[in-house]
Amino acid sequence: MNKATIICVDDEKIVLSSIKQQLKRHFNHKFSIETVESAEDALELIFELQEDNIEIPLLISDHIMPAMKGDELIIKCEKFIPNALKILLTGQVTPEAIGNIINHANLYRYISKPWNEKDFLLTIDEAIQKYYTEQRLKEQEEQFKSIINNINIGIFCIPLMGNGNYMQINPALIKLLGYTDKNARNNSLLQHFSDASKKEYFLKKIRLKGEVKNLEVDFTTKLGDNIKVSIYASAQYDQKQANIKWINGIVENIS
Amino acid sequence: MANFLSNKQEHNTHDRFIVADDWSGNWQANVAIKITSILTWIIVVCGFSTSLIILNDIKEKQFQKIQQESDQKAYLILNFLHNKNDRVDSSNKIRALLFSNNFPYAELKIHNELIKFGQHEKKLECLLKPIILFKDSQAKNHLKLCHQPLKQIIREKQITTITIIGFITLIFAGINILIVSKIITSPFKALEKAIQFVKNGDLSTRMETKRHDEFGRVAQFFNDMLDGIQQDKDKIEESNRNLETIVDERTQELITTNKELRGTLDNLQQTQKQLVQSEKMAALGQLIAGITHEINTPLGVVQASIGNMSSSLENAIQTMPELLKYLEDEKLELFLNLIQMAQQQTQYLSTREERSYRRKISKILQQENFENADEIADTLVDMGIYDSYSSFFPLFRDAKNDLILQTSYNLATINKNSKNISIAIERATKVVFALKKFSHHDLSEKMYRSDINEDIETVLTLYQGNIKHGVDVTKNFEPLPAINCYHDELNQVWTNIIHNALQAMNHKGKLKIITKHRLGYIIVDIIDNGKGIPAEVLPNIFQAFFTTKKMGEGSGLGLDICQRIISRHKGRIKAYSKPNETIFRIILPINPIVEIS
Repeated sequence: MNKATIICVDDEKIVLSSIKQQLKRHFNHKFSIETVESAEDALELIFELQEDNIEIPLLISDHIMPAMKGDELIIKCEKFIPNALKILLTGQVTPEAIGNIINHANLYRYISKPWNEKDFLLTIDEAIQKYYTEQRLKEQEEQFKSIINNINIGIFCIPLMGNGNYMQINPALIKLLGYTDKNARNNSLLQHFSDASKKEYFLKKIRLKGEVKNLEVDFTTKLGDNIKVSIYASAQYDQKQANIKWINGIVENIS
Repeated sequence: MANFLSNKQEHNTHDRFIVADDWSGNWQANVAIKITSILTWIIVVCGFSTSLIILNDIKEKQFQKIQQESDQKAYLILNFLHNKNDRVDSSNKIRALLFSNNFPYAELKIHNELIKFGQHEKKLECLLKPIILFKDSQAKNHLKLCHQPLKQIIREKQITTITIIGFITLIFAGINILIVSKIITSPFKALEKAIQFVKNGDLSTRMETKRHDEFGRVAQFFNDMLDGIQQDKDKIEESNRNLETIVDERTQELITTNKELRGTLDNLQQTQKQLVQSEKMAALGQLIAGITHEINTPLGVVQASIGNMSSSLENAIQTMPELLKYLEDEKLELFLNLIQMAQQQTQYLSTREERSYRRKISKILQQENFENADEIADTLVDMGIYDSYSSFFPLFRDAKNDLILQTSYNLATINKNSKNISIAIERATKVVFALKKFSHHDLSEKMYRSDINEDIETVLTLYQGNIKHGVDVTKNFEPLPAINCYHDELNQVWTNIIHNALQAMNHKGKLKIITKHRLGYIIVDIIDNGKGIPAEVLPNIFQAFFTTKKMGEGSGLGLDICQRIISRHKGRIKAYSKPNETIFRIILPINPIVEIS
């Protein structure tokens, strides 16, 4: 149970039957395939599946249907299942409808009827792959985020130019330097050096060598406390390796 | 006229002056007439008074003269009478005396007896007797010689005098009249002459204006008037000439414009034809858009089904030997039963119903502790087995249940696919047939006998793609006689009105089509329960280029063309509308040719 479900929408049952067979044979029970005969039914099904927490990676829809047309359905689905990839499989479509979808939703492909099975399945495969790649990317991002947020070492990312305000800062560093979640990004790591010469040294080293390893400095926190920290930072260059885009690194309390 | 007077202009080049006689050049005519009439009066009064004086004078003188004369004569006569010697002689002498002096008679008073005697001789003789007899010395007092009566004499004198005076007065009066006529009539004559000239068309005529009296002014006015007329005439002539040129130009322009117009009209007619054609093509285009879908869908199904069939068959052939070897007798029978059951299924369910079955079966299978309950349920439903599946549980529990299910599914789908193919082909055939019937296009524009019911049916078939689920079509067809008509044109009408009806109700609602045959006419009502046509729009819907649709969606020609087509068939088209009911009623004569004659 709870297999990811591909939804096929067409007002012709014989079409649905054909598609289902093709998909079923191709995926061999890897996905559950649901067929619906109208856009309204499709929306209803989507709500049901979402209630059951079933993933919907793909929506294949006909365009010309009584009542709600394919373009309208896809635009509506963009709201409910933004991650799902949408494919229009239709015998006839107006340029206006295509334009409509492109402007208001994310149409993955348009396949015209009669369709070639190989092309069709290839497209579906690609779509599924894309969906899962995206999902994986998202998951990984989440994981990284969680790691960064939960680690007990301060992590930062600041630009070299300008005011040097944080581009990224993790909760540990916020806590260490005494910011609040709200004002953290209006500050810069560079303002905390107790000794200005150490700051110059830090920047010089970054500019010349591209990294600073275990630099032990005194920091004055936002709340006025003096602490001793160890900084490890490295410069990130742009594609030409000529200019430094930003500096990221870690800050550890060693006092 | 004031204009003429003030606008005195000299164009004397060929002016001719009519001279009004300047005999009394500086006289004011009214003064002259007054003087003349006073003079005439004076003359008449003078004549009259002179004649009275003269007459009086004459009367007196004559009286005295006659008195004297009669006294002398009477004396002579008495002398003669006294001369008794020669009576005869004396009588002669008296007679001579009397008559020579025009005394026609004499009166003799004797003894108070008045005796008159006249020229008559005898009477005188007898009269003389008494005179002589009485020899009265006093006789002479009694003898009175009477000449003609005094009145008569005086009258004679008076008549002569009056005649003379009258004559003189007449002469004076005549002179006066001549003078007056000279003064008055001569200008009139001149005016008459001038008018005569003008009447004969000589506008250059002018009157002489030396006189300072009324005639002078009249002449001046007349001249001014003529000037004005002349000017006007010149202007008119000039504008006439201009007008001619203008008329020529305009005529030329008109001819050119006419040519252009004719060209434009030709173009317009051409355009109209093109428009009608393009509207027809648009109607056809709308249809084709639907039809493309209607044909591509079955084609896709056929293609997919064939692929599915071959794959299924391939798979089945691969797995069958293994499965047949593997299955024991009992299970083999079950397997065959399963396939047979799948083959026999005829029930047609919607995907929704299928889904609910699948869920139900899946639940039951889960209760029976099947691991892959979902898959089994899905396969069963796809095979068309919705109930009495419990007998196949042993098959599902088999170790190779996957293979068994796969194979039976493959075998079952062959049948299913072939059914799908036949449905698809039937669908496509129907559409193609309808299209063929619809586009039965005849350029010779001949009328054909056609059954309206069949035609409407054809159009409905073509619109099946648009009608399908959302629209509930009610057909209330009476058997109709075939009518002579322009088949494809009428089809255009049905297409257009049905298309409009579907659009009006947004492809969802009730479409009712009623055909009737009444008194030689066919009545077709196409009724939709759409939003209706607003009352203010209703009168305009048959106008060309009137549309409520979005820009580019409709040309606004559809209903106009429908109306033209219907009137070409001598029929009528009318629309009645209220919310939830719009009726398009088309009335066609069964034989339009009879209608014409």
